[in-house]
Amino acid sequence: MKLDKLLTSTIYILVVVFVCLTLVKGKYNIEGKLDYQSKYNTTITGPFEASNSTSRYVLTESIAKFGAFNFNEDQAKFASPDLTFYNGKYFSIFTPGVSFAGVPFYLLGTYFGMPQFFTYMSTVLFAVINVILIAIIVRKLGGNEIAGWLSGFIFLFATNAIVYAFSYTQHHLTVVLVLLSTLNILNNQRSFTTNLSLGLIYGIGALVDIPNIFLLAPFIIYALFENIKIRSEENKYVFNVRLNGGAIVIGMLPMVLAFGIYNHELTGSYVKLGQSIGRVVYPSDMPVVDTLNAPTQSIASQSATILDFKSPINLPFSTRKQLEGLNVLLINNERGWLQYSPVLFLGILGFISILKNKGEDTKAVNILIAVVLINILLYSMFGDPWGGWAFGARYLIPAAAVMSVMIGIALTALKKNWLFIFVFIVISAYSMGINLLGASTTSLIPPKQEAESLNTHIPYTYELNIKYLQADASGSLFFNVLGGNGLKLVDLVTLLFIFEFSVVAISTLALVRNSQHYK
Amino acid sequence: MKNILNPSFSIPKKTPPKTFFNRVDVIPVFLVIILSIISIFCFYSFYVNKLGLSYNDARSHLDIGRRVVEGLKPGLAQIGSVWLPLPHLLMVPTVWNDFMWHTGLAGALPNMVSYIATSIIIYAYLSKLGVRLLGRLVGVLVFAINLNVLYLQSTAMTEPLLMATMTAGCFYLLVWSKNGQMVDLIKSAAWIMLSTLTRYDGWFLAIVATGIITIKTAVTEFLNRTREQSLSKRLRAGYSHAEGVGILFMTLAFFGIALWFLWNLLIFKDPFYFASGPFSAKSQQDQLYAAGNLPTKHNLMLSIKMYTYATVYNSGTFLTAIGLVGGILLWTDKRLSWQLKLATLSMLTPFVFNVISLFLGQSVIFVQGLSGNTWFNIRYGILMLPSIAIGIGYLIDKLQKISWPLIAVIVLSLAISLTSADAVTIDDARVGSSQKNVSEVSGYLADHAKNQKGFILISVASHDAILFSSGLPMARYIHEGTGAYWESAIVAPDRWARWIIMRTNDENDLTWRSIKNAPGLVKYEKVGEFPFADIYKLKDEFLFDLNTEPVYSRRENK
Repeated sequence: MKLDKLLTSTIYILVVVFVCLTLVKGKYNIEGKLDYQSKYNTTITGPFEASNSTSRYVLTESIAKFGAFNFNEDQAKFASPDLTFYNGKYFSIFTPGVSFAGVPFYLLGTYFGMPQFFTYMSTVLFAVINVILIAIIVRKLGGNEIAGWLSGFIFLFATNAIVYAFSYTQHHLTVVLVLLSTLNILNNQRSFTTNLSLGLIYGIGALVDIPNIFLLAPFIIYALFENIKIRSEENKYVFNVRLNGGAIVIGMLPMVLAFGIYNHELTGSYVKLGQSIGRVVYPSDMPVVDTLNAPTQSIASQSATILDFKSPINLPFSTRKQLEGLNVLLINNERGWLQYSPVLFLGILGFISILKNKGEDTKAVNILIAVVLINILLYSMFGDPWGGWAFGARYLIPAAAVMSVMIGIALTALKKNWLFIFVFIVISAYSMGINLLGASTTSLIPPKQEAESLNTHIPYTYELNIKYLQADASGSLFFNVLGGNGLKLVDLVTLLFIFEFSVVAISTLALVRNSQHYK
Repeated sequence: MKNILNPSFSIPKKTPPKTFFNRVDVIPVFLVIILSIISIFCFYSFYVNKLGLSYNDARSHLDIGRRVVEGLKPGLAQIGSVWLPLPHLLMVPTVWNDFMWHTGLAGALPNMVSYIATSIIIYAYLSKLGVRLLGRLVGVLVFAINLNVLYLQSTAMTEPLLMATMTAGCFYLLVWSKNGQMVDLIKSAAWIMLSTLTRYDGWFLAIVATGIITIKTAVTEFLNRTREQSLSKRLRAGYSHAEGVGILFMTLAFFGIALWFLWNLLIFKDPFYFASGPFSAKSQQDQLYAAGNLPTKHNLMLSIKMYTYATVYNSGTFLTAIGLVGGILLWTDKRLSWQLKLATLSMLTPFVFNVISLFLGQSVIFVQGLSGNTWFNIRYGILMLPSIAIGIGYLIDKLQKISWPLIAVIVLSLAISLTSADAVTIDDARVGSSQKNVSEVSGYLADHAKNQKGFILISVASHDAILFSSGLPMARYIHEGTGAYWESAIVAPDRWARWIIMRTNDENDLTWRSIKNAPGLVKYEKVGEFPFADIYKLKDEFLFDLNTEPVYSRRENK
């Protein structure tokens, strides 16, 4: 039995790694060397096409090469406009977690003469880890083993997670932290070690991306409350307090300290972040007016009678934007799940199944619901729910991971329901196809308002990816090596789609025939 | 070691002594205390930020109240016909005081009480629906921490009072539907009557409530009759019962409406003056329509969309959505009687009323992005908040298994709304079409008229905000409500008014319309020209003939 499981796991992991390797970005230059390793080439479809990757990459480079957190002129130009200028220093506008995590990969890559390739492989590694973690969590929640692997597969290939697996962004590392936190709380024993590790995860989360402070908060709150037990007895209330809950705080400290030192080095303050200073475009040190983040109440600036009414707390969120934000993230054709990954909505059935079957033991599920809702809610209130030029709702990748877990539960609970299975296979195929388009071409899709203001009209949906597909424009190293031999991009994408679809279809059929039921 | 790291202690259970707190539900008492603190804090905060008086209408409301007690012709007739009287009557006991008038506290005080009252009614409403404590508290939280509500309760606007009276009316309707006690029906009628004297939304509630009451009574009576009786007998019994109960309810619920007709007849010689007079909402909307600025008129889908957006922008998209889910759960809950569900429909009247008003062109709302780049009357959307809060409270109670994550995101949403100071009503008040920058004109008057004798001729229908903002006593102004002073001044302005404030060449400005042909007008020089009004000053050589003191006795000025 164990051998069976090992074999199943190995097959799925190999499949995932294989698909990833065919899509990983890169190309050989005319000198016959792997490109992008020493030059800052921002060609569209390449690994450096988006500044949210380049800004993080040059920070990794700066740490590994110069032992510095700030950028030189070339790096600043490369990172612009995800750049900050303060006290005469250029540095990344992002928090440094992803860049810190990439340093060992960069150093290893330097050894092989491929620093960019190895650094970006850190994200691929996180993506593969996420598939494995999802499979484990589905099993822990009582799901079927095959359903677990299918869930992982759906997460990576039927959502825009695959597109961002080849970038150098925070998304996959954030998902790793969310999933590790989930595993942590599924461990019913709140020991010193589990608390310490949860604190550490939270600290890393803050270092990776500021919104992770909100996203991971449900886990911390749950763990803290789990360390306080109140029991009602006949004549008294008994309070049990586990002081090892304090280990959560201890666990956070190293990362908080690291964050403080990083900030102090750049801004002279332990708590002043690059994001709070604002963007600049190299070489100017004038702040850029970020049209996407600009307040919608633009008429405010037209009136001479404005009275100063500002909150002392400056968060980049506004409830006013919820309506548009929810539409962008969930429904419309610019980024919405409904258009890019409709399969994720089947996760709702997973939540319903688990709540029906788990009786009162729904604490972990509650936390997962909170993570999804907080993720959606936070970014619906964000000034730029589009994520700039992006593919799909990139900010919702953590929520997509949780919904994928729930797809595994739904698959286990409803595997005998042919209508559900049919719907699952059909919309999985659609979702995989759409996201394969993004992964094989570009992640740079403009928001509608920007696309319409361009002199040359370009689509603001995955139609743009179809145009790239037809033009054989791909960043895939595999395609760029074999493309010269007459291979068309559309052929490669079709083959990959058939392969992915076959994996899902065969796995689903195997699941239907499997006798392992929902526990 | 284990004991040090895992301390355990216990608190003995005691039977609490019989005190006041054992006999009453202490939660509402604590809520009143907490909400009072929040209410006072918010009033102070908005006052300090100079936002409490940003709404042009807020200043007008305060002036109307003030004119009842102070001016050249004080008295109840100053209530006028533009707005319904209750908000202004509630100001009268305090607005005589300059501090209460100029801080806006006279107008905010009833609203602050209304804010607390509405919160407590939401708590009680949920309690009557069988919702447990957590759901009730979340319902109250959703209403009481809404920044738009907190802002409006700090102003002299009429919406908080309307919400309180309407919600109270709906609450007693629910209680009556549950236990059938006539006293609750009378209480419902009384509160609805007060709402009909606050805003016209209350009139629609009175009609809807009457419909609900008659349907509930007729059907219940019909069903209570034994099947042995003939169908016509059962129908007749149902009808006659409904007729009796309906008339009982309407006698009180529509009493305020009848009084308002009578008031208009007595004061303005036309019972429909409020609806068809020159300063009525209809008259203003007709002008907007003529200018092509009333896109919702005769467009049902846009009317629905406009009010939906107003609701969403006031309450938040997420909260509106889950409130709706709560409402659906409520109306599909088999454990609730149909009578109870029928009564809850009254909570939807603000939505239906506003959509109908927009469709008929009787009302106007501008939503930024949907109808131009400005806000106007966006605050009307707040009227659905009590219903949304009740829906959410019900949802929390029904979906107990996932109540905590729901509460977490509700709190997050409310917290971000507060931390980002995000309130459409504030934007509407300070930069939207509901604001009016009259500081130039009022500033001129404060600087030039304060220490000089002489009256100021002005139309309050057009420029009430100027009266308020100038800081001058009401008795310095001759306006259309000052009887003989006005009649004299429009014939010979140079004998009565040292300054004239009006929009030159604007026939909508009553002052201009009344004195444009007056021979004395040539004796004035225009000393200021501003977007909302121009300032005319009597030339110094004609001052010798000017009346600067009140000369008419009360009797003469009737």
